[in-house]
Amino acid sequence: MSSKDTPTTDASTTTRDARMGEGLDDRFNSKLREAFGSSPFILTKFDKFMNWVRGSSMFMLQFGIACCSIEMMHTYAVKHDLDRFGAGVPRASPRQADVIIVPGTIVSKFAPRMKRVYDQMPEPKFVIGMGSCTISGGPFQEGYNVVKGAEEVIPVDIHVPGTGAVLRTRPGRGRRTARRGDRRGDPRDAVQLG
Amino acid sequence: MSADPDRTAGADAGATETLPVTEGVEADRLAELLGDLVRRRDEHLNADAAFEVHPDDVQETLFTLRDEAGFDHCSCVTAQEYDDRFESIYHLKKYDDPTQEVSVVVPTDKADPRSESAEPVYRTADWHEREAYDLVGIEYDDHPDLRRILLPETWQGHPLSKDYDQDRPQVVTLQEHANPLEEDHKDSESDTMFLNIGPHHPATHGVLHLKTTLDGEQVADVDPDIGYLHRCEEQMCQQGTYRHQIMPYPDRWDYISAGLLNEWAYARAAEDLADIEVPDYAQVIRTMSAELCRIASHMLAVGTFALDVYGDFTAIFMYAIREREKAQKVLEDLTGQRMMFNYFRLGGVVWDIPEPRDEFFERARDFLDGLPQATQEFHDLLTTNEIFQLRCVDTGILPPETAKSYGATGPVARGSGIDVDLRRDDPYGYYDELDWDVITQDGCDNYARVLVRLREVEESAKIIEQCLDLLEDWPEDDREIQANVPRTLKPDPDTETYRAVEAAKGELGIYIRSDGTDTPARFKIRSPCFSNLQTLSEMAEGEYIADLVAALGSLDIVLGEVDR
Ligand code: SF4
Repeated sequence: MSSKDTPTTDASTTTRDARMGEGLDDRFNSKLREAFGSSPFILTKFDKFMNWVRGSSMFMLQFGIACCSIEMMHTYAVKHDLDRFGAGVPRASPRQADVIIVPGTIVSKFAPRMKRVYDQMPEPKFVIGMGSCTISGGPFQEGYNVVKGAEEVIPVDIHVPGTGAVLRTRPGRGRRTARRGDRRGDPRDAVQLG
Repeated sequence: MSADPDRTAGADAGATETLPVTEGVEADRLAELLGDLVRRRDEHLNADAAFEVHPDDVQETLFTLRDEAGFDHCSCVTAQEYDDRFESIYHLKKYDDPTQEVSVVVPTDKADPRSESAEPVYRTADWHEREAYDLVGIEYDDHPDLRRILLPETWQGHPLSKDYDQDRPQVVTLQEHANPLEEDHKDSESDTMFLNIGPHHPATHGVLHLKTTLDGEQVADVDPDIGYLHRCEEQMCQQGTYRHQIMPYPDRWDYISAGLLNEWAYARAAEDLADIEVPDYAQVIRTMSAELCRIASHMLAVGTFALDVYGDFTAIFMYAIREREKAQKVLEDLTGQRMMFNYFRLGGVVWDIPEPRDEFFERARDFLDGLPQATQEFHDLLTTNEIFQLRCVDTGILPPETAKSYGATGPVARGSGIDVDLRRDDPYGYYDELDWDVITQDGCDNYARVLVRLREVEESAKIIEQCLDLLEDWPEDDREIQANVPRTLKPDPDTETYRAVEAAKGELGIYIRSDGTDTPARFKIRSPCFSNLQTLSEMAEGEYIADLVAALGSLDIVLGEVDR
């Protein structure tokens, strides 16, 4: 009903600035950029990186929100078997987790809870935003109750675009996070990155 | 089909017999029964009888309809705002015969939208009315606990009402849930303890929050707090055009790969609204693919349930996922997607079985051939397992009468011996041409619900098998996959319909009101999980906390559908 009478929220939400203050919204102001110049990619040898991945066992948080979490479960079950990278056992407690994969739409009521879960993870910690919903609100961007991207709440290191069909991209992306985590040996570095 | 002991017992069923079904005349008889309560009579596409009643007569009307005409199922409450009034619609049905429908329309004043609550008649109205209050802003007198249900307490305004300004920022702070470890949450006199379960908790199947009060190890009270995934599905659908823009959203209601079942709900309602006839060939494809979705969905239900009651991410969960992967592979071949299929179109499906057809059929049959062994494995590992039985038999009891008053449907209702399945009772698609059974179990407990799901998987396999045979032999020049539907659909103004299909979790219904444009004026989703979840407190109170988790798992809720 409201749809036809009220204008829908602008995609780039003018209200966001009002909420967050100026400048904070710049999605490219991540530490990653500062560290690596304009390109947020890191180049390394695949073997070296894979060895690191297997060696450092990034534990991820068992954290299901919406549709994407179903594909996330598939990633760590048979067939795709995330255990190959030493990351297949989801941790139920944020205090034991290194990576939080945010798999779904974040709505107003849930955002503060997610922030709290993130805060409870020990440093260094990494965030993967899975699916369009965590990038921008995805298909629900115009919804009155939908937070327009996880980044409004917690800093996201890696975005995996797509809706639902992201499974094929995910294990690969998981590797890339792990690559970032390579710097875990130097906590300061990692903090700076995260 | 299994016999239903409740069909012959109970006051409601007895009343039904005194009022035989006679199409058309039925509406008149009901009008006669209600007498002066009816202020105006109207017709909805789904129900010959839509009675408009005074806001103060709601309970009387509903009591009469329930006790004297046998309408024991309040499937949905739709609230909406017109230019000159607010309106609540109670969609009533009978468990014995869901094709008998009646809508009770309650218009209320624009300035002070207030009407009588239906909660004393149907327990399920409790949450439905809270939702109506939350999103549209109608107040219900006599309601036991009228507060927001989906949006945070601090929310300003009612988003589906006409004067809501979406661009106004809302402030939602982190309100601490009561901390169970703090001393003051322990009541020293009665010795109860308050426990938060969720919204981030492995056993809640998503972002559900249960406010639980424990007395020792027993649950004294449990209050589900939902809305952590309320992503405005109804608003999204109201903004989309009928023809193409709405169809992607149903995939995201019940996202346990049950997308096609949801799409069918929308397709059915919209086809009804625009009077579209779906070709038989397309119906067979729909039936087949929807049942594949049901298998995938039930597999996850069983897998995660096993996870809840005695597992970790071990064998059973992995086996369940393995079967799902196979089903998803077939679905992917057909639709191009693993989860968000977007495969149905109004009037049919988007494309035919992929070439080479033989290969597709072979793969689908391979999947079906492996299924008996897989279900046997589940029976060996789960249902005949002593530990599992200890956890599930006689826990989470849901008596049929309670289930009915909460509007439970799907495997939850069938596990309580209620013989209801819209595929058979209100046939759509190709189901009535095929040979299959509705599964019911009389146990009323967690165990019965698991059995129902496992046996339904076998029935679904039967259906798919027959569909594959049909598709294989279908004459090549008669493979019509879509009816001829205009590019822009504009159903007649002020047409209203409520149509439901049997989704994986139960009755998934859609109410649409058109206003002559190409987008719906009101789009309301009746989600089976929303109603099913309400039964949780009935099942868990007085039981051990561990059984609460089992009961929740056996309900097989999916939060995307509960919150919408
Ligand atoms: S991106 Fe798509 S699949 Fe993922 S949570 Fe959002 S709607 Fe669901």
